[in-house]
Amino acid sequence: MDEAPSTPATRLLVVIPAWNEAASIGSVVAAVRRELPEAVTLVVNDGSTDDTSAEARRAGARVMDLPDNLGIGGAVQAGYLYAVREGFEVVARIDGDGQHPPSEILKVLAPVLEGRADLAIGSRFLEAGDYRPSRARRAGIRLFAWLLSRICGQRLTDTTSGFRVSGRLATAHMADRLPCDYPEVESLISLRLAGYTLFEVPVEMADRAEGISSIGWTRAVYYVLKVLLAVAVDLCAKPHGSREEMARRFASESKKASEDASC
Amino acid sequence: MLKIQIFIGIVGVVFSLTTLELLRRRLLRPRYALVWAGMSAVTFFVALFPRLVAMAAELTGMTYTSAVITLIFAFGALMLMNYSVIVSRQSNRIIRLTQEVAVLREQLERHVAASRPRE
Repeated sequence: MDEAPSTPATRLLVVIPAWNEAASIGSVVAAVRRELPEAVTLVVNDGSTDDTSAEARRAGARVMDLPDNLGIGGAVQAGYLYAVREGFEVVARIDGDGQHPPSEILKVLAPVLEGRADLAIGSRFLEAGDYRPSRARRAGIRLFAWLLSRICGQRLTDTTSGFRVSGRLATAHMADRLPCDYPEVESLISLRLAGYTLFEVPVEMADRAEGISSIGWTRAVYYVLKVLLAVAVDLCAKPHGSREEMARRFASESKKASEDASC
Repeated sequence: MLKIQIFIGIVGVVFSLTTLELLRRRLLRPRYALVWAGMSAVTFFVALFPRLVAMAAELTGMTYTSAVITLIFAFGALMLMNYSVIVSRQSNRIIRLTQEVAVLREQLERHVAASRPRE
């Protein structure tokens, strides 16, 4: 390995899932490297048919090419799995379309680095920002915010935000158990029910740099129904392993590692 | 021999031959063939001893066509559900496998790139 996972240089991994984002991925990677020169940037190329992989490499990112398109959940989870395997301690996840300004990562990092949260979420709605979603989108966002706040027992405003920072335990939980269908909403429930702490941080988000994200009423309603069904299933399903179990696993692994090292 | 017996017998033969052929072409794994072999066996049994069916109907009170159709439908639905479970499980495994391959490929590429200049 060219870099030992324990050196400070490799402690932070920035995961950028990307599917056909060749137009914007290069500038996103460049911006991350400029803002966080000590972090490792990993682009998870989710079976793109354009030059996403090459553009990301050119910009200096590590690139993980998935052999097939898994969808956002599977791609993000691949990034978390990579972080676990490579021993990264903190993972920041941002979108590849330029929606999440890398200059805001430090803000979202803070609660995790300070040990105040297992997962920090960059929220567009905690403070009045420039982000103005369509009415259909806003209605869905409000509904999820209300529902998730009730389920999680804390105020959550931006449940579909993909701008997230996770510590080692939460990263490992999601590498094992990230639901693949609607990872943003469902992972909050999965983490909270397992005893992880969540924390929202106000961030500014840009409009999508390239590409389109137009959700009309019919698609919005369909999406909301699908996510509600998934949430209902999550609440009834067998609970995932708890945070305590994960902490014990990490403790015994590091103990074993130090024993191995002393031999 | 009744016409219906001959018909059911033919259905049984087609069932078991299809199962065997799929097995022979390795399109069907033996563990999944078991249920179809069982189906064939039941079909033959019914063809050979039609009175057993009448007795079973008498015993369970299922003398209506609708009851029989419901039973068949329930069996079919159960089978399909079983396959949905299998498909879901396999899809999860494929996703994990895809992720593992991608992780390993990235690690390998970096390893190779790092070792090249030193040669």
